Amino acid sequence: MRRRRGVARIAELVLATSMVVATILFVMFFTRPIRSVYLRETSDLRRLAYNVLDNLAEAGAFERVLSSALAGDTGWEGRLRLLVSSSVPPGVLFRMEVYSAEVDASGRVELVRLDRGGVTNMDSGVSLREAESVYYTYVCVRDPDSMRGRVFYIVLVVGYAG
Amino acid sequence: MPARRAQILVSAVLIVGLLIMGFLVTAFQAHTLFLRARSVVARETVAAITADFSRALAAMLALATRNYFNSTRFSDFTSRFEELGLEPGDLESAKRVARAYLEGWGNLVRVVYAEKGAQVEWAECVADVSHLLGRPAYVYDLMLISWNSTTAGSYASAALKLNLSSAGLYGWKVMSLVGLTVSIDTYSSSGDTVRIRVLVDNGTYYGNLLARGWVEVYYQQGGRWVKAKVKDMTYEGFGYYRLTLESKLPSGTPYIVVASDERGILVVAQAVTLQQPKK
Repeated sequence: MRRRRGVARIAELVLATSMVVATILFVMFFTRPIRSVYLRETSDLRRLAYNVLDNLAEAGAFERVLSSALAGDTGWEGRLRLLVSSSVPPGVLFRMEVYSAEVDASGRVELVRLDRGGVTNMDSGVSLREAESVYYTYVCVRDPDSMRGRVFYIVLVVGYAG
Repeated sequence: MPARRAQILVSAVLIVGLLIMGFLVTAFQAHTLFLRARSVVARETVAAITADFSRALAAMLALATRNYFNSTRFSDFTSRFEELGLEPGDLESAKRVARAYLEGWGNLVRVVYAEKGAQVEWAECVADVSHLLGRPAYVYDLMLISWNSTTAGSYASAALKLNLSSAGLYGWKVMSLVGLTVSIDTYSSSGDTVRIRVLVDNGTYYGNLLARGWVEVYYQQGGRWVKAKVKDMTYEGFGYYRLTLESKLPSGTPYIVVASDERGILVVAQAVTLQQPKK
């Protein structure tokens, strides 16, 4: 009889402890910031990169800058660097690669790199501690007429210095 | 004695219940983490691809309308597509070029997003544009050019199907309708004033005609079209523009309004000036 009572007491004790632990765990889980540090930083960088590219596309900047690139002007990388620099927050480093895309009659895709590594605000030798790269295809739709319908492939890497 | 046994039973049930709840919470948490990590990549990639598909469609509609209206004037654009079979002034050849171009665009997207396992397909689809033109009209053959009436429009419609297998996204499908609609408000137009309404895509008010687009007015004189000089243009809101011409248009004469948005899509709307009562 006493043994039985002891078992019941132990079960009650385990139950009570479990309830307390569960309550503490629930409180800890729901009061914590929803996203962990790692997820916040990478997703924010990715979102930033897409926002920069979307804003440049919306403003018709790619048509204006890349038309001079196709015309052989060597200063276009500096202009694009300035545009991207003014769009990213201080402390964020970026590197952009721009390719002209051609699709032949058989459907084969040919990518020709236009930049010479000048569309960046990173000094040589600087490594990125945390970085995110996004790919972007852009069909030109704005003026000038000579650019309409041309397709470019853009890679933008953004991150923090290591 | 039975009371004690029941107490133990209740305790055991509660403990098992707690364990199950704990397991469910953990599973839910893991699933949420997976969705959060995955959806960010998929969402932004899908948005970028979808927006570019609309741009590709708009570029081809611009090509078709510019080629149809005056291929010589826009030869900087149209001449690049002649080797693909574009014939000046011919809408059907422009549609063929557009189909080939969109196939090529699909190939590019497959190459660029290969590491995300992108599978891209596009298909022609039927879009109802009756509400834009005010008469029964459908885009069923990739493009519709309905010009030379008081309400005129140029439209292109296609559906994009997308899978991103590495992100776990399957069966994404979106219909894209790009276009421009121009209506001449004949009731509010007079000899030297033309009031028009411009809508883009599926009926969004277009407020950038002054800054990014352009508009021209031509009237018929001696069997040919003469360009009227636009002295002033005012945006009145809700897509309405008032064009003031330098001189009055002859009464009872057909005139056309040619408008282009910033994407290069052209529309030609036509009306007739009011007949002046004879004195």
